Amino acid sequence: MEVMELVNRYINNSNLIIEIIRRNIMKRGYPIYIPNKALYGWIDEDFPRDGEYFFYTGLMYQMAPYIERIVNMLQKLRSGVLFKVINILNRVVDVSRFSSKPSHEEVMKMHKIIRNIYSLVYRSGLSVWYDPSIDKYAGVLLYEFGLMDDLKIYAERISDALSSMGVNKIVTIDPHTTYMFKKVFPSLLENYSIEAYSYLELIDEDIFVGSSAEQNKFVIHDPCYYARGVGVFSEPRKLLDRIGVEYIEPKFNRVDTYCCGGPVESLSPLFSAKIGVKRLGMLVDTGADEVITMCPICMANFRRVSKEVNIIDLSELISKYIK
Amino acid sequence: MSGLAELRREILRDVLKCSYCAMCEWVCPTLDVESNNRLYGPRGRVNLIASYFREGVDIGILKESIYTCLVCMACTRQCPAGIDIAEDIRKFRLFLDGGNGVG
Repeated sequence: MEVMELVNRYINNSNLIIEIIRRNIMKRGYPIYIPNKALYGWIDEDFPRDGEYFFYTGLMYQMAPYIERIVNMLQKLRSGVLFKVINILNRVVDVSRFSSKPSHEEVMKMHKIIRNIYSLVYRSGLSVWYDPSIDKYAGVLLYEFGLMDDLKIYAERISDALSSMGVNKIVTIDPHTTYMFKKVFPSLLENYSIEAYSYLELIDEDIFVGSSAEQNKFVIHDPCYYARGVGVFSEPRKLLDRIGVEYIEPKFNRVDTYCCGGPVESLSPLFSAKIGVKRLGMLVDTGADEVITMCPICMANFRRVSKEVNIIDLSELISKYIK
Repeated sequence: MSGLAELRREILRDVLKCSYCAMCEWVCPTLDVESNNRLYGPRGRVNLIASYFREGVDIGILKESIYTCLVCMACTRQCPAGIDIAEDIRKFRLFLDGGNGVG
């Protein structure tokens, strides 16, 4: 009895939550419901429909404010019976539609980040193009939950759709999608030939004016999937150095970065928040005024645990200095 | 079923390399917030998997340990025995549902 009290504090209803997410991804193409306007509302009408690099958002930035809301809702629902009912309901109707919606400003903030990243690659001279019909969620939750049979089917669908449109090079904008395309899909799929690059690898440093006017002190937080997953950690620093933005390195940085807690947010919002508080504490203790992230999940998790600390995306900062 | 047996062998072969040195523990965020409970750390997880395969352990304890892992790969970099800890945990999640997910 004592042992059982010691455990099961965080993981409740894991089967049911995973089943809801699995069903949503496989049937509906996303882990949680997001209105089309939030997914694709950032697109300007004159986006090129043809080019060398496909601009693959992977929908993660668009999803982040919705994830924040749904995780807050999950934190309140702990009853197993309720989850069973929700799970049955979810077979017919997407239950994630019923969580509270993020504000218009939050959705717009994410759209602005995506447009900023698009400007950064476009101004770097790359021939980038976009088509919303083949820009899909990359299935990272299937991967993390170990649902490999489902992931294989899902990944094939993504890869086939891209190939049918003649895509062989993509630019990704978040670490999760980047990791899936660079590391997971090549080992999972036969005849996979898509070359994926994080936008951070492709930015031309000469597009910036090299004179930062920032008064605030910044601290940099590396996302696990960039730093350890695909080895992208010197690129963002080079860009900040080029612009002349001073930043502080926290305890646990670069390839030895410390997870924000985001990956367990769906199974245990409480545990995820504890880790978020711990990491944000390390970042703030450096004396910085603002935290630079490069991942929408890190941003959402930090924002969930503190509304006082200013969390920004790297692209918001550097795009101010495009010539 | 042979796929599952192969998966079991693959995971077990890797986790049995653990020599309890604890080099993996100092970087683990989940052990950091649960500092006195090794169930929430990489060494605990790896050995819990080994125990599960060899003598069976309580499924509640197992899930608490395995599904609180962030799969952030911080521990994998530290292991002197070269155990791919994060990958073993992810594969073990796959094992738990007879080859496709949660048990």
